[in-house]
Amino acid sequence: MIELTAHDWQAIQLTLKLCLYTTLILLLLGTPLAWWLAQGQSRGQCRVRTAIQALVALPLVLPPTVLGFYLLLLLGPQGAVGGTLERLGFQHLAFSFPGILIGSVIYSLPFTVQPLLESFRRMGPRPLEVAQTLGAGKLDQLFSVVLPLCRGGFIVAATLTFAHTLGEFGVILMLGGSIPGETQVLSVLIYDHTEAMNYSQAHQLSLGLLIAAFVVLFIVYGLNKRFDRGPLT
Amino acid sequence: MRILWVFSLLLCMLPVRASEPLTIAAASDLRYALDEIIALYQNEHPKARIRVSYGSSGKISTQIRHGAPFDLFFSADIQFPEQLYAEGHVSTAPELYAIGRIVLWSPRLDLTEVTLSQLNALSFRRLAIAQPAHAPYGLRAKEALQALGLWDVLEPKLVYGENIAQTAQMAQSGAAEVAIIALSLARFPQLSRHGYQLIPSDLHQPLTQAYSVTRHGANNASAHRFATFMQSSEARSILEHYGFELPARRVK
Amino acid sequence: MTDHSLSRTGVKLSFWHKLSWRWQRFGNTSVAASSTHCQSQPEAVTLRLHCTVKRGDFCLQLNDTLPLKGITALFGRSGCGKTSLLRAIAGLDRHANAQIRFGNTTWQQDSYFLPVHQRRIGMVFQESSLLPHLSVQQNLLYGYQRLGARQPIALKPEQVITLLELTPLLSQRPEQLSGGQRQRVALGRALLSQPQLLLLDEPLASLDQQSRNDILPFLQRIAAKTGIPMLLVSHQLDDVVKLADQLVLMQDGRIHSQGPLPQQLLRPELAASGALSLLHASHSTSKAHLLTLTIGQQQLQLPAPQFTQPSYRLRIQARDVALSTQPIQDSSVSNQLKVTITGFQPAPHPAETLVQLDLAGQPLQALLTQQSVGRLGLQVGQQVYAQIKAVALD
Repeated sequence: MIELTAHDWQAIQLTLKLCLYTTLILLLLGTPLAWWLAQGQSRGQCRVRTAIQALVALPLVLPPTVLGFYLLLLLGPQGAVGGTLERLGFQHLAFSFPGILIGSVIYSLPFTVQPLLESFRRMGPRPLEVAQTLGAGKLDQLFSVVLPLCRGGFIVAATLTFAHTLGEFGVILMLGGSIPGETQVLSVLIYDHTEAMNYSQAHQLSLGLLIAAFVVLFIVYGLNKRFDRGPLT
Repeated sequence: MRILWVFSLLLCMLPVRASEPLTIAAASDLRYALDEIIALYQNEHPKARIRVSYGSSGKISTQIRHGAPFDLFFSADIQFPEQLYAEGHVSTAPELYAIGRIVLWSPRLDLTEVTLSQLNALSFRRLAIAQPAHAPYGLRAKEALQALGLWDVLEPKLVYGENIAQTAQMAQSGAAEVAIIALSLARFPQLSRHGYQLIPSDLHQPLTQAYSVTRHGANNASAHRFATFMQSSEARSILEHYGFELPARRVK
Repeated sequence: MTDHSLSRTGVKLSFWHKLSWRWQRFGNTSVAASSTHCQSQPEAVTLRLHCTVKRGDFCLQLNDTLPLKGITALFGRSGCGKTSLLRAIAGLDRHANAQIRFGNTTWQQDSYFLPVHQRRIGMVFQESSLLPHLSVQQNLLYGYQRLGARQPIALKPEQVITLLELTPLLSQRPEQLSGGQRQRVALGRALLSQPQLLLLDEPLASLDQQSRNDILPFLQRIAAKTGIPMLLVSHQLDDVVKLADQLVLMQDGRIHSQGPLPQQLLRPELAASGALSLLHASHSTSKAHLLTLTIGQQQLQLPAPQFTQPSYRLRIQARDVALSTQPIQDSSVSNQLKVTITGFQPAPHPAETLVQLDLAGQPLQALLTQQSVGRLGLQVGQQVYAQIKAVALD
């Protein structure tokens, strides 16, 4: 029943690669960011925090085209980033895998930060105060307290980021075009198949994506329940 | 869960095949014709890796200006590559490869006896054309409608496809009852079951189709090789089959 | 060696921790053997505090030196800054320009700030603070496993587990414990991190009376057996009187007064919550369920408790003390002590007076009506007889 062409497989592979890289990068960037945001409303920094939080949540409300448009300008050969890279002898980033990776990272940022922020807030400052008074340094606290206590948050953040990147379309289309093997991810390929009236192929991929997304979300909500830990006991 | 991660990790480790492929950007009217030409080319050059990205000529031009890594650009209107050539974004002067035609097409209505000028008499809710702002076929459709004085009457019924292939798809899916699309698409077997009405070419500017090798592809030997192949009789016969009018053969 | 550096850098594997525990258990037998020495009372350590913070309602203004020996209670109304002070000492809150010096170690001065995890403090919080992802045993050993290799081990896990009667709880999860049990585990965990100072932030506040009474003896035992100075935040005078040796009275973010508990109890600020006195008495004999205690040259008889101790703390409410100028023969009150009047103080009720007395160098208070004072013609320096109607033994 399922007859995927090499072209389709290439898009699947590219999509998974994009999702995985995005997730890994966002966990590395999002953890300190969410941590910083979770720190109490300590005076002075309060407004800066609110501003950053709003900035992080921006992709939730903005049309992807806005982000795609600005990234295209920024990362392209005439843009500040792309132009600088060209002058330094590198490739600019528009219509390339690194380019759509940057787009995905920005676009999925709230999906990493929000669950982490939530779980850090739920944990509260007390467990870390306890760990400090018992002689645990910063890194030790991260591994012996934060990671185990916020495990659910990390899993949810990772899966949501992965799943959201899977479903990303607008930014990638604008920033990446539709270059097979480079920027043509599944969602773009489905669009292309539809345009070409290859309905059976579009259908196969769409159904596959639908099932995959459902399974991912099912796992997330299942895990969320399992790792649901109350406050300190 | 863990197995899934490992699996996807492994998948991602596999190199995405990229042995200096040829990346073609082509106007959407070529969608089926070019696929056949590429298949033919790959028969002759089995090692050639070709990837194609279809879109409206205007959108592709913008992408090329923003540094899209295309090697070869097939435009539905020579005006786009000419402009890019003047700006230095393409490395070769635009080369004619075909003249396109527009047709009135509908999967619902029988159009064999209906000319464009009679369109207004038909009962339908939506007429699909490509976005005139950046899709040459859309612009030509608009010109034809204007020439017949139908533009103002029909404008409320218009829906715009992002490119000509999407315009065809809009009609094919039934979202619009009628569409003005490229002859090359109406000739595609899947669509040719339905009749079409050729729109006289004197109602609009000609759809002079041309290609250029981009600056990105200037040093890509296969870009030039494929460009040459476009002039071959095999390629020309495929284009002809899809309803393109052919320019005089280039003198070598 | 490596196991410690591993746990220090945070690369944490329970395997390594088990190893490190074994290693410490075997490697420190000599320390363990001599650990009895810590039962003797050590010298008082001083805690030097200098801190001025004023922010909205919150204010902390300190320039004090607290000699810490045994249990020092930080007492005051809620909101007076007790917990803030404790957190500043621990380093959990960092106030600019604060100076904190513990013994010979500077914890904070100018831009220098010793991180909490290097201060060698043990802290027990008001509410439950066990790490929910760890078992009781893992919680207990959390700090212990993070001790440096060269850190002397004065309290070994077995000792603490025995002291706090934790053996039956070891394999349980924190959520299975009662409030009192959790605080006991938290205490044990703090002790096992071999602290030089124990900070207790209202450790009993969230417990019901039964659990409080269960925990109190453990706190007393810890103070007696380990000799680790403790700073206990409380707003319950009851707990303070049962436990503390010193009392630091806080008001509006300042230390109002400090000193030994019996003397501090004479302060009018405390009389409002029911004037009482604290006497130290030593055990003399116990016969026929009757316990005889000695204070100075005089004796006191009480119903004997279940277990006898070499010394006792006697809590005596001021209203349970009557005075007479002559010894009374025909009275049911058998405890009659010769005391000297040292002063008078107004009592909360305008018709009453608190009479301050000296009993062999220890302060005692009696609550009399103004009328009685006038009728008996009581004066400072006068020798009178105090009839003590009720005594609480600790």
